[in-house]
Parts: sequence; C-alpha cells; structure tokens
Amino acid sequence: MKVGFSNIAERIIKIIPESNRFERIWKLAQIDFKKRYYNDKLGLFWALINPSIKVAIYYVVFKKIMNNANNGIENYALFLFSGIIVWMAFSETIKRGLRIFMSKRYLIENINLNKEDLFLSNSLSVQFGFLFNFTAVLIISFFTNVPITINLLWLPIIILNIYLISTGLSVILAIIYIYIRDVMHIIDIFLLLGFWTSGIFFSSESIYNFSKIYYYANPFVGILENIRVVLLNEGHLNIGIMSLNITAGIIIFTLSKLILSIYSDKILENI
Amino acid sequence: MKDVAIEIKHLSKTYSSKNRYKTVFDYISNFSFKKTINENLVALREINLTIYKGETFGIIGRNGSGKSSLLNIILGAMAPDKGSTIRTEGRIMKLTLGMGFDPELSARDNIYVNGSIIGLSFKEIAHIYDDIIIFAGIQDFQNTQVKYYSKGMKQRLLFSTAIHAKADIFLLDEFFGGTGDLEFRRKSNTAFQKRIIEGKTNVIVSHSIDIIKNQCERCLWIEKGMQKIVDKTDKVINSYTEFIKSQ
Repeated sequence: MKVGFSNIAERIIKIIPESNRFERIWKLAQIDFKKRYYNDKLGLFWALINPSIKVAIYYVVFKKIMNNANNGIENYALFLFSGIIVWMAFSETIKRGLRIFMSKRYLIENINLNKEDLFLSNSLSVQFGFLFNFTAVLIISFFTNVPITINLLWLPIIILNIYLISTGLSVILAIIYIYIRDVMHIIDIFLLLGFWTSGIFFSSESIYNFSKIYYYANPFVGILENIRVVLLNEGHLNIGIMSLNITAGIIIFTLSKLILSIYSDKILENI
Repeated sequence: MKDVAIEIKHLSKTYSSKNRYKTVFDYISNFSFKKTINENLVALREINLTIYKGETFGIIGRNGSGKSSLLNIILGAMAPDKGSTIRTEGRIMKLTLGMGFDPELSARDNIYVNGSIIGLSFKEIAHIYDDIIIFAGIQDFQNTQVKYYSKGMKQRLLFSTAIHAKADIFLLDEFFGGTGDLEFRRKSNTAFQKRIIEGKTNVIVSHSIDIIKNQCERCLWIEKGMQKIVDKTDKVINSYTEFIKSQ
C-alpha cells in the first residue's frame, strides 16, 4: 500500500522559507524513506508491522510465559511498543549511518557535498518511520482509554533529543568505521546491551535502584522514562533527567560536527 | 588582467600506507615501536597552476599519473598535503560517466537530488526539469527507476542533467559530448559546446589527445605525479607524444 506521504511532505516544505540546504536534507531523507518502504507492496506498513511483531513476542514472553515479570506495569503492550519504537529509531540511525559514506559514495566523489547533510537526512528519514509508529501508539492509546494530557507538548523536545544523540553518534561511529571496519561488531554488542538495559522492558525506577550511575549515564533510560509520561501518562515528567539528556545530546552533536570537520576531506581516500 | 578561477601553489598529495589498515588486527599486526619503512605513495608533487575564468584547460598524462587525484583536490573532496595552497572561485562540479545516479531512484528523484546537492533550489530545479527530460527523450519514463533504463537512456539522462547543471567550474573526467545514437550525438555535441564549454571554466582530463587539442587553449602534462609542462596545448601535446613514443 502506498501512503501519500510525499504529497504531505511537499505541502509542508512549500510553507517553509526557501533554503537550499534544508531542501537538500529533506529530499535526501525523502528518497531514502521511499527506497525503504515504497518499493514493497505493503509500503509504509512494514514500518508498523516490524515493531508490532516484536511487541507481540515480548508481550507473550514477559506477560504470559515469565508470569508478569514486569513489576505490574499497566498497559504493558503499549509500554513495550513506545520503548521499542524509540530504540528501533536509534539503532536504525546508527546502523544505516555507519555505511553512509559507502552507500552515498556516488554523491561525495562528484560533488563537494557537506557530508553532515547525509547524516541529518539519514536521521530524518528514520524519524519519518518513527512518527508513523508514534501515531499508531497514539491511536491505540485512544482506543484503550489512556488519557492524552498536556504533557504531549513535550514530545517535540524528546524527539529532538533522540535526533541529536543518534545523529551525533552516527557521525562519530561512521568516521571510526572507515578506519576500523570491525567497529560494527562492537556496535552490535552495545546496541544489544542497550536494548536490554535501557528500560524498554522494565521501568526506569528498577534501573535507578540497580545503578544510579547507569541511570544517569545512559540517556535512553531518561528518554524512555519521559516518553512514557508523555504517551502513557505514567508518573511525572522528569525535567532534571530531560535537561541532562538534552545537554548530552548537544555535546555529542557538537563533538560530531567537530570530528567531521577534521576528517571530512580524508574520507574519500579511505573508503 | 584576467580573473583567476583556480590557483594552485606547491600542491602535493601523499597517500598514507596506513590507509590500507581496516581492522584492529591490521593495526596490531603492523604495530612497531621502531620507525617503519615509509611505504607512502606520493600521488602529486609540487604542482603549481593558475586557471583563469572562462578558460578550458586540459590535463594529460598516463594512467596513474595523478590526474584524478588532482581533480578530487580541486573539487574539495580530498585534502592535499600540508603546505599546499589551493584557491577556487565559484561552484564546482565534476562530471564523469559514472556520475551521481542512484539506480534505485526514478529520473525525477535523481534530478532533484543532484540539483539540490549542487546548490539549486527546488524552484530552480523545477524550472529546468522539463528541459532535462525532453532533451534526454525520456518523457514517458521519468518516474521509472533508473535501473530499468537501457544503457542509451541512462547515458542520455546523465548527459542531459550534466548540461543543465549550474556550476561555475566544471571538472570533466573522461566525460565528453557525444553519447547515444547518431541523432542524440549531434544534438548533444552542440549543447555541450554551448552550455558547458562556452563561457565557463572547464578542466578536462582525457586520454583523447584530439579532445584536448580541439577544446583546450592551455594544458598540463603530469608524469608520475610531477608537473612536466604547463603551456599552450600544441606545445605540451608534442612533448607528450614524443615522450610516449620514446618509452
């Protein structure tokens, strides 16, 4: 099935002031998204099917087989869904970003392109899928009588936070990858570790009780905690951890810009 | 006094032997506290060159002489060694036969991506879009993925996009007018002269002596990364052909 996403996108872009750089990032993100989903018959619904199946599996394992091994969290399926879509957006940005210099070689070897745009568009393209899944969460919340509160207004800030962290890390890791190819195996291990320890399956409170240092050091624990407040109305928004995570996002993103500016003209000869 | 488009002073380029290391094992197995034998490859050494606005300048040399490295450095895609100076004026684009097309995308998307990357706004691309499609003769296939195009269609699209590109300096790496069938070749040669060569700054790299002779007023001959001669094209080509015969 093909969704009129491009038409909506074209309309949005028309109301934004003309900027070649923004248009370029938008176009690269749009074609990337198209390539991933529009060539299949089910189109964009693959973006929804994938996390839905994961949620179904984990729900059965934790809720049924392991007999409520989730500290009695209400709406456990939605709790899982909201966590999984955030983590999938992050890991997809990292994995796709890792090989970006190879996959977009046809561009960087013919035009002196600002390479940061490749990463910004990569993350944006992943965020398109995330927003689609996020809308699905909202619809399910509505039908399962989860109240939608004013906290929803915090969502753009949380999404921006995910965008800054994942884009920044993907730039840094992609540069390491052109010099050390086996970094991808290490990344796989860290992504697996993060998947099981960032609070996708458990509340952030259990992580805090387990290790305060880890709770503050892993920005995704706080991001998932706050996104559940926003989406599932679980507890209160933790402004302290949000500020800390935004600061971490800005630092990672700034660091990635600095590293890219140093290595930008050394990339072509190393890929 | 003529305006300068590209100015190169003391330009050198060395590829480090460490570029070959790609895994942790490579780094560990090649690690040594002693100073290792230098296996670096010098691709370009002490190139000094000034290319003027509106000039069509040729670069000749045998395979592996450093021509493509020089183009990549002018483009800004590759860094020269420390101590090199390079100054360019205006928007630069490199045209090659394998240039910037993603086979998974339609002609429309490829045109928009390439256009926006060289600095055109969507409005500007929309303005030239129909001309590109009509010139390439692919009106009925503009939304088809390029991977389904015949070789001729791909060449026509590539060529048509290139001649509509808006850059101040074109770097032409073995890219020249005259692709496709006879009719398109005739049409493309005229368009190529009119839109790319005339009034723009061009740097042409080609193995075809005829192309360099016909298009370039001045020319550089590079041999093993060293600048042999920069002078009027006839003079450079005579020295180059004599050298090739003597080898």
